[in-house]
Amino acid sequence: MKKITKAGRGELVFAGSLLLLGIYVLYDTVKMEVPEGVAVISPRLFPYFVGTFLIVVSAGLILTILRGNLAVPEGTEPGDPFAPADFKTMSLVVAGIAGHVILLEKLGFVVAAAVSFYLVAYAFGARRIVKDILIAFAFALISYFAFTKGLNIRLPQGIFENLFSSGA
Amino acid sequence: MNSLNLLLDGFATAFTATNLMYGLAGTFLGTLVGVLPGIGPALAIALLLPITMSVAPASALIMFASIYYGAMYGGSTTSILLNTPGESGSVITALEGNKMAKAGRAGAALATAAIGSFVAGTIATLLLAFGAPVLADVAVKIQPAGYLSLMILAFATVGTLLGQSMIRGLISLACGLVIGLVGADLQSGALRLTFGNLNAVDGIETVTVIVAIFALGEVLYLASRHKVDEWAVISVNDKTWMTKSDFKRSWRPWLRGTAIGFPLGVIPAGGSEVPTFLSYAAEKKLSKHKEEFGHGAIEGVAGPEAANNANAAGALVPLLALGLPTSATAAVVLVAFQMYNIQPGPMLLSTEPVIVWGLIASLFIGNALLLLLNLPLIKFWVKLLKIPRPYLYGGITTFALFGAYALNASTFDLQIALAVGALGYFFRRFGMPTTPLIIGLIMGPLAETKFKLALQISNGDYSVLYAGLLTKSIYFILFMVIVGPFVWNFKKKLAIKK
Repeated sequence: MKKITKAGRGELVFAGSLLLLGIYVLYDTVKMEVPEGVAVISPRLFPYFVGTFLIVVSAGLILTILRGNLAVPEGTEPGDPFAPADFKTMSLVVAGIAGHVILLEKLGFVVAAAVSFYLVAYAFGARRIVKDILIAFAFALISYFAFTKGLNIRLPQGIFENLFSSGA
Repeated sequence: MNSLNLLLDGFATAFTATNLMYGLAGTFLGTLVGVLPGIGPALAIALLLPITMSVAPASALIMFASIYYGAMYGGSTTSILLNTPGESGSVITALEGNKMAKAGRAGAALATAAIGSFVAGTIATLLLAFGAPVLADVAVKIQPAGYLSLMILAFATVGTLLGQSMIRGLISLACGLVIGLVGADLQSGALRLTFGNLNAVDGIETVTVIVAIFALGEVLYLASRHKVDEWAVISVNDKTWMTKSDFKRSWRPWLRGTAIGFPLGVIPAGGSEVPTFLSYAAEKKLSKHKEEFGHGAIEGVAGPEAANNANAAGALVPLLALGLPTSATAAVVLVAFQMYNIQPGPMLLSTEPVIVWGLIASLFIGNALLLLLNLPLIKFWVKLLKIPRPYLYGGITTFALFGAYALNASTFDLQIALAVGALGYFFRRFGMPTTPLIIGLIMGPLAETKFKLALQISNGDYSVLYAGLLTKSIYFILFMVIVGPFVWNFKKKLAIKK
């Protein structure tokens, strides 16, 4: 057995969580409430296969990692694929996505879209605050009108949307 | 000549003003999204799925056919000019094409890719038009157990052929199967893996998963790689696209690429990775200019590009005739069908002839439109590559969130998107391919249906699962696919020891 590197530990944790997920699938299937007399073939059968399959392959992955066969990241970008992850940039992206999710039905699509656009752009190095915010809002407004007026897709409305639709 | 008549009817469907407009819009949008770096055809179609929600089925599917080819073509443009292949099928194109572009022959590389795609696409669509009905006629007789065995074979090949190691592909497949389990069992209504959440009863929205794992996963992964530099886009300023000698060197690779790509699309060979690589290897071997390979040989672009396109059309054969997707892109097209409650399969050609033949006809039209639109518009596509990367990723993220939300107008789908995006990051970080997950997610529930159906017919007798000749031979092939590589490696090891 080779010495496990830091990257290897991360991969082990990931494989371990998948193993636990597989066990949970089996547990969920055992305690599943099956309405009586409806199904000829039990709805438990297939999940049993899937759960067992996940357990077997994640156990296999754990063995593979322990034998020193680590993953090569699947990136297409140049640069060192093994460099440690930049958590600050990543959390900004996550904040952008989470912000969109939280704000969408509270403040409407335009605000939510501008927030996710701006935060992700900021994470990737956009630093001209006024210009970036203007572009974010322009992008959000144009998409809003293209989606709702052009494609008849209903999107949550908020301050901005009402401002424009009351005038129309 | 029944197929021919039906195909002509298909052209009549596709040639109405409305449908032609959708075809044109699809070609344009497909290329537009496909050109954006990091967006492959599967993601391009998934991102564009919501925009056809208010369109009639025939027009929408015609649009998807055009998006399909448009996105493929857009991807090869990016590979040549930027060396960032958006999907595994254009990795090889990037290899030689980018070298050609750097040597000032971007125009020739783009042209041989475009014309090669057109030639391959046209021949392959013809084969599709005449092959799919034949296969469907045979497939009508296949029993549920036979279907199940075909699906398991597809699972196994997609899971084991993709990615760095067999085990990582299978992990991806297993994750897809688990996500596919969530929700109420169709037959009994029993709830599975819903964690008591009412939103999860209808299952996890497939489009949400696809958009999140490709787009959000990719953006998160790029974010984890520190800062990104602006790209060096190679400009196209050639006066001539292809010279006479370029044509002479390209036409054989186009045909050979088609011959390699199409059959490998029909059988579940795990997408376009294998055929493009085989085509590249064949061209390298047959070329009179071997020394140019690795420095921008036109054959190395012409062959793999043709193989990639023929492969995409080939994957539509099992999709239309059997309802089995063999690549991520075909799986997304299956989802598009399901959105309109159309289930591809052997009966589809007889129950929905207008839609299927309209779709096939629009593949021809889309292909021709691409050739007409894209080379003249190349300057416009190059401009897209110059969008500053922060804005590009801000836009992709926001558009992906829109795609995840719009189908069901539900914030629950957005929460799922965030979670699946995180999973997509870990997949990239730990070298797991995403295609098997998509295949497992989409085909898992179909496989369960066939499984139950087979057991119902046999009254719970399990021997039905491996009884017939078809199931037996398919499980034999499966055995060879899985055990074969081990035997091969073992023999090689023995040989080295000697």
